[in-house]
Parts: sequence; C-alpha cells; structure tokens
Amino acid sequence: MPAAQETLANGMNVTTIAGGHGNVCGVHLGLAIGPDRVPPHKAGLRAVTQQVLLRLLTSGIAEREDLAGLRQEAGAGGGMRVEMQADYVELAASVTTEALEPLLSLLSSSVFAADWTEDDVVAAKESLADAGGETAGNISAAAQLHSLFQRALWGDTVWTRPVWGTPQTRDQITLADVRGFYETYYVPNLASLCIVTPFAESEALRMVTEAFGRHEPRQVAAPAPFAGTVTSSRVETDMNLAVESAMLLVGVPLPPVGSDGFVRGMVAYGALSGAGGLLASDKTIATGLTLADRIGGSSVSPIDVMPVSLTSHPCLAVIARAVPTAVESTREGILRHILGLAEAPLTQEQLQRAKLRAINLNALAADGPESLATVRNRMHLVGATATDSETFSARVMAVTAEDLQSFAAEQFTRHGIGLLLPEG
Amino acid sequence: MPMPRPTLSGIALLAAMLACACAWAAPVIDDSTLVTQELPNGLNVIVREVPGSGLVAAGFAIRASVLYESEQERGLSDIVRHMMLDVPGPDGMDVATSLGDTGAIFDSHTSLDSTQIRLVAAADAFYVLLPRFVKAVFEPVFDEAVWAQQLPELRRNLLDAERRPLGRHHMLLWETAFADHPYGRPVAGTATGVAAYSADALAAFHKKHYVPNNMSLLIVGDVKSADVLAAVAELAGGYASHTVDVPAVTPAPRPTDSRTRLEKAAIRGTIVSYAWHGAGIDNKRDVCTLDLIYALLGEGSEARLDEALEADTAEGVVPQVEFITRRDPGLFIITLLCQPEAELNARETVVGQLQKLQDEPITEQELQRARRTIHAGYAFDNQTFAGQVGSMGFYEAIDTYRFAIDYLAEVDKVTVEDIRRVATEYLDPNKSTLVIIRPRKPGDATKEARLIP
Repeated sequence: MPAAQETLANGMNVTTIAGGHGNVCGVHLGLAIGPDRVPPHKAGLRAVTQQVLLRLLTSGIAEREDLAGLRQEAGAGGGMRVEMQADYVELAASVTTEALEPLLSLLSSSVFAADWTEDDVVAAKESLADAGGETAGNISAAAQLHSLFQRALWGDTVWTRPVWGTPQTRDQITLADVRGFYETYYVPNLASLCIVTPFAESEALRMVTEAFGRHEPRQVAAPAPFAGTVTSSRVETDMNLAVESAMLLVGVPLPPVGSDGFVRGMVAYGALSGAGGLLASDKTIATGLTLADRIGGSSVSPIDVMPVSLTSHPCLAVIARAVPTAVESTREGILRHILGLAEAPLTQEQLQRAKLRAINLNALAADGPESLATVRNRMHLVGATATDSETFSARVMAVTAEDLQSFAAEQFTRHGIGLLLPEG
Repeated sequence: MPMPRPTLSGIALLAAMLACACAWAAPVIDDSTLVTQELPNGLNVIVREVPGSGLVAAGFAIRASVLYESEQERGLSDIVRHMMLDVPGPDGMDVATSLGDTGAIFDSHTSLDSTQIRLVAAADAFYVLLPRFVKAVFEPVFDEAVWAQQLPELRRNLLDAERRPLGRHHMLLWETAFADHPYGRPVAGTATGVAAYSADALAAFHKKHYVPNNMSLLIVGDVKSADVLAAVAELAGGYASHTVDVPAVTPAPRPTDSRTRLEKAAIRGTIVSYAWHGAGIDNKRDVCTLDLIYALLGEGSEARLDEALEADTAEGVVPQVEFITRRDPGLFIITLLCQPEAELNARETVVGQLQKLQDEPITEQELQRARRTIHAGYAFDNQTFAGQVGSMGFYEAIDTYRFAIDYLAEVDKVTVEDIRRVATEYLDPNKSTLVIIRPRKPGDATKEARLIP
C-alpha cells in the first residue's frame, strides 16, 4: 500500500497509508513510553495511566454530542482498544470515513490534554486487578512466568517488572502520580501515528494536523538504555499456588525488528511452529505435556511457539505446560529443536513450509485497516522502516537452508528459561 | 444483510450523528478494478485488484446446499464439504489443517443457499497455495474406511445439536415455517439420515455438484487480473462441466395464518421466536427495506425493540432480530430470551412494535439512522479482502456478485413509505410462525399446541 511519512511541527511522527479497505479507516497511536520511565515501587503506573485513558475515551464517546456517529459505529463493528507493549503504549481504533475526524479529535484531546479524578484512578486499578486474573493479591501466573523468562534472558532489567505492576505497587500509585506521568510523557514528540484511509495522502495529513498539531512539544529526558546483563544461558524458577502443572517459557533472543537477522528469525519461527512444525511433529515431547485445554470450543495445545512481539529486543520463545516430573524432558525437547536449527539444515520441504508460514503470518497480521496501521506503527516505534515491511516477503523467500543454519549458529548461542512450578 | 453478524452491544444513538452523515464515504467494494471472466467450462471468475496490499483472498461459491439436494441427498452438501476439507484422508493431515499450517487462513461453511470455501494468504504465497486450493475443491478423496470411522462422531455431533435447546429451537422454527420447502430441512442433515450414506454416495454427490459451471471463484487482493485469470484457467480449466440436475424448488408461499410450536426442555429461561417469510433476492427493494427494519428494531440501544422491552417488562429480556437475504424468501426472525414470567409481556411488546411500524410512518431521522447503521455494519463486514470475497460470494451463489457492490445504493433508495408497506405486507403478527421452548417442570410432558400470538 502506498505509504507516506511526515513529522509535524510538534515532533509527532505521522504515517499515512492509502488503504483498499472500502470505507473503513484504521488508526494507531503509539507513544514511546517504556517501563524505564516508571519508578520500581510504582510498577504498573503505565498500565494505570492507559486504563484511565480508556475510561476517558469510553466516557467521551458515550457523552459527547459530536461523537454520536462513533457510538453507532462501536455497535456496528468499529471500536477502540488501549494496550501496552514492552517499549511503548498504544491506542488503536477502527472507524468509517464519516467518523474519522471526530475520532481523531477525541484521541487528541484524551491523549494530550485530558484531566481526571481520583475515582477514575481507583476504577482503573480495579479494572486491572479484574482483567489480570489476579488471585489473592498475587499477579497472574502468566505475568509471573513472563517476568521469570525476561530475567533469564536479559538479567535484572526494567523488562522483568510486571507490566501491570502488582497489587502492592499499584496501591502506591496516587492521582498525582498519574497526572505527573501523563503530563511528562504523553507529549506529541514521543508520539507516532499511523492512519490507513481511502483518502488522498494530503487530505489524511490535513485531518491529522488539524487534530494533533495544536499540542506543543515538551522536553523529555532520553530513555535509559536497555541494560541487558546476561551473556550465557540461564534458568529462573519460582512457584505459584494457582498453577496445576509446570509452565515453561524457553527462548532465544532475536536480532532487531526489520533486520535481515530478524527475517531469518521469522523463518525459524515458521519452522518450529504450527501443526506440521518441528515441535508439534516431535511426539516424544508430547509425552510429558498436559492435555490440551478446551477454550471456547477450540483446543489449546499445551505447547506453542509464542508470536514474535514487535519490540526493541524481540525473542523467539516456546511456552509449554508439563507435568512437574517431565519438566526436564520438555526443556530438553524444546531446546533440541531450537538449537538443532544450527546443527543441520532444514530439508527443502521444511524450508518451503517455514517460509510460507513466515510470510503468511506476517501479511495476515496486517489484514484490515486497523491491523495494518498497528503493525506499521509498531515497526516504526521499534526503529524499523517502511521498506523493512515492504521487502519482508522477498527477503524471506531469499533465505536458504544454509542461511538459516548459519544464522542459528551465530544467534542462538544462549537461551533463557522461565519455569513456574506448582507449590507442594 | 450479506452475512450473519453476532448480536451487537448496545451503544446509545443520538440525533446529532446526522451532522456527519453527509461526509464523504468511499465505496465499500470499489469495482473500478474488477474483472470477470467465464472459462470455457463455465467457471465464473471474478477478480478485484488491490495493488500493493500484500494479501489475497479467494473463495469458491458453490451452489451446493439443501436447495439443490434431492430426497436421497439430504444433508450431503454439508457432509461432503466437511469430509473433503476437515477430515484427514488415509495418508495424513486434512486440507484445512494442511493449508492452515502454511500460516494462511482457510475456512468453509455450508448455509441454506450455498457452500463457500475460502483461502486468505500473503500475495507472495498465493500462487504457491492456489494449486492446492483448487485441487482440494475439485479432486477430493472419499475413502470408505475414513467415512466408517467418521460416521459415529458425525452422528453424535448431530444428535448433540438436535438436543441442545437453542439448536432444537432453530430447527423447530425453520421446520415449522417451511414444511414444504428445503429451507425447512437442517443443513447438516439428521443423525438418522446420515447413517444411510456411503463414501461412494459422497463421491457421487461431489461429482454431480462440484463442477465448474455450478460455481464461481472470487479473488480480491494484490494480484494482477491477467496473471491470476491465466493461473486459474490453467489449474481449473481442465475440469469438465456437465448439466447439474437438481430438483425444481418453488418459493414457499407466504402463510395465510399463524403456525405455532411449543415445547418444553430442561432450561432455565424461555426462548421465543416469531418469524415471518421475508423477501427473496429477486425482490431487492423489499430485501433492503427489511434490512432497514431489522436495524430500526434491533440495532443499537435506541433500537425500538430494545427500548420498548426495557419500558414494558420488569425483568431483563434479551431480544435478537435477524434477517439474512436468501435466494428464496427466508425468515425475518425476532427471538426473545426471557424469564418465564416475562414471556407474555415481551410477546405483546413485539406485536405492538410491529403494529406501530404499520400504523405510524417512521421519521426521516429514524430512517437516516437505520441507513447509517446498515452502512457502518456493511463497511466493517467488508473491511478485509476475506469479507469482500465473502459478500460477493454470498450474493453470487443466490443471484450475482454485483449486488454486493450495489447493496448500499439500493438501501439508500428505500423510503419511509417502503418501511410501512413492507411491514404491513410481510410482518403481520397474525401470519407468523411462533416457536416457544419453555422450562420443563417436574412431571411435564413435551407438548405441541396451537396458540394465538
């Protein structure tokens, strides 16, 4: 899709893409606000602030007369979501052309010029506790496992802190904290917007400039550099009352998003994942795994390769649920396949399957205007370029079995394992 | 509506929305890059180019459904589709899993009017997968041993569906409304009926219906028309066509009185559905008018039925309005899920709202709001290429893909007077099909009854 990139006078980065999605527009607004901006004892401050924003956006849509069109679209298939990733926070929306300008206006006022009350902060904390699956004041098993894995892979960095904080750290967050955080970091010069519309580039840019151009930039200190300290393989273990089986997250670091190494990493992902992938095809691993869960009528496998997140430090990771006595054989089985990529080249059939899988998954992640806006903006937020996106398929198709093997030999020299065991 | 959508969450509507109704809107399905070609064997290929998008969606729309099944073939459309795509053959992975394993999206379903089979893939993977996709549709293998293995599970699933209250309710509704029309038969057949089939019967059904002149292939995305048409001609042009001998079906006449079925089941709440014979695809003006009535009554929290039920009934009643366009006139359905004590009030409310549509013209403002609801819903349904293939394939199977492109323009032609005329002509409370499933109390027996609505 034809894309154009501009930087507004206030420092906000804007990408406009002319979509082929009929009358629907996709919008993604990201702010480069990482966990390093949050004091350790206030872990969860980003999450609480984002949750407050979600409340403001929701109430804005519900109450403002000029946003009635958005209300109607929310009922007809459009919508908005507010999320957080390792390096940035994000808001995304899907609207028709008729509701695009009101939406941009709402986003602009909510993200850069809003205020709220103590009640909003309290409600935001409660929502996070409910949504996080926390039990008895503890963080969820998934968040705990993720934190262990990050520590094993990178050492004691800001990434090991639970992104939603803990009930204890969120208790420390006050109205003044949220206001201060918002005023410091929710600034146009840390923001990047991607908009997919049927409008001409100039018209889309006019709408964005009208909505966001009025906000002044503010000086923000440079982010703390990511200080990974681990140089060898590590395992981090903990226990959790709420889990019935052992949970493992086993993975290796990948090169930066957009690089040729990352492209090869995605081929490795394709080779390992899926029903015909190396992991699922190895029946010896299945012996120690728990039974598949059934969620909403679908079967959820006890072993899966995690989708590769678009972050500044991506990784290739496998999650598994195993009976406690089979942790060692499961760990060994997973690593045999990840590290095995360096031992022998894939067959041509395996390579072809892995490549197809990599390019299909990459393309389908951008299926629809909101998804396309999200993927493109996330790439930008982690330093990749539009060209990196546009050439992805061609670069995947150029990877040979030997390329993949030498990549794995150079890249997969250390691994990290997060292990969560049931108590007792 | 082109495809069934889930019930939508209620979001307040205000008249102020009209302020932006005049803004520019892009066509939902832009036909400026659309090309069609019929291959010599009768396969109709429709291609819409979206250059640079990196994605392609393709779908076969096949005229195989209850409408085209003979007495001896009941349920075979769905069974054949399931067996050819979802069940592993003698040597391994099923087609759906195998194509899905490449990271592409592959899905299929059979409805009352057609069978649709779809693939969505990256543009760079599409030409690699297209041969497998085409071969899966034209050259499936039906193995007797695999069929014998699948049959018990298939029967078990059908029995489960028939026993579930909502499944039973749905079946009763269509069966009661269409006693002498194929729409009254379950798409997937019955547990008893499927037991009579053999793998040979499945293969014979496939051979008869899955011929190029009985289907269309729709492709939307990052392809060049000339290239993809040449590829399709090479892959599918060799399959022979033949005349498809299907039973003649006459559209069911609109009922002249009410039909009612009442059953009891082990459920906590009551399920009530009113249904009326709507318009078929050959009457597009009335189809669009019924779509607008569906939006007026059931979409958004200012929907008339939601508001009236909230005002009239003390207990929460969950309404759902449904109208899916079909080749022959299908059903306009209003379903209520309620506590037993709220049933009568809720039913009165439904009848009252329909009467109101006949007695009082709606306002222009209400019509605009309903149009806007339809426009927005249709835009979101078609924001992906898979959605566009789905919409065009849906209409191609019952009429022509063109209606997917022209649909919103036709909706905009509907007038306030059309709403009143269609409500009067089609939605007469005294000529409805009413099906109720109430909670069974200890000692109750299953009953059938004839009631006044």
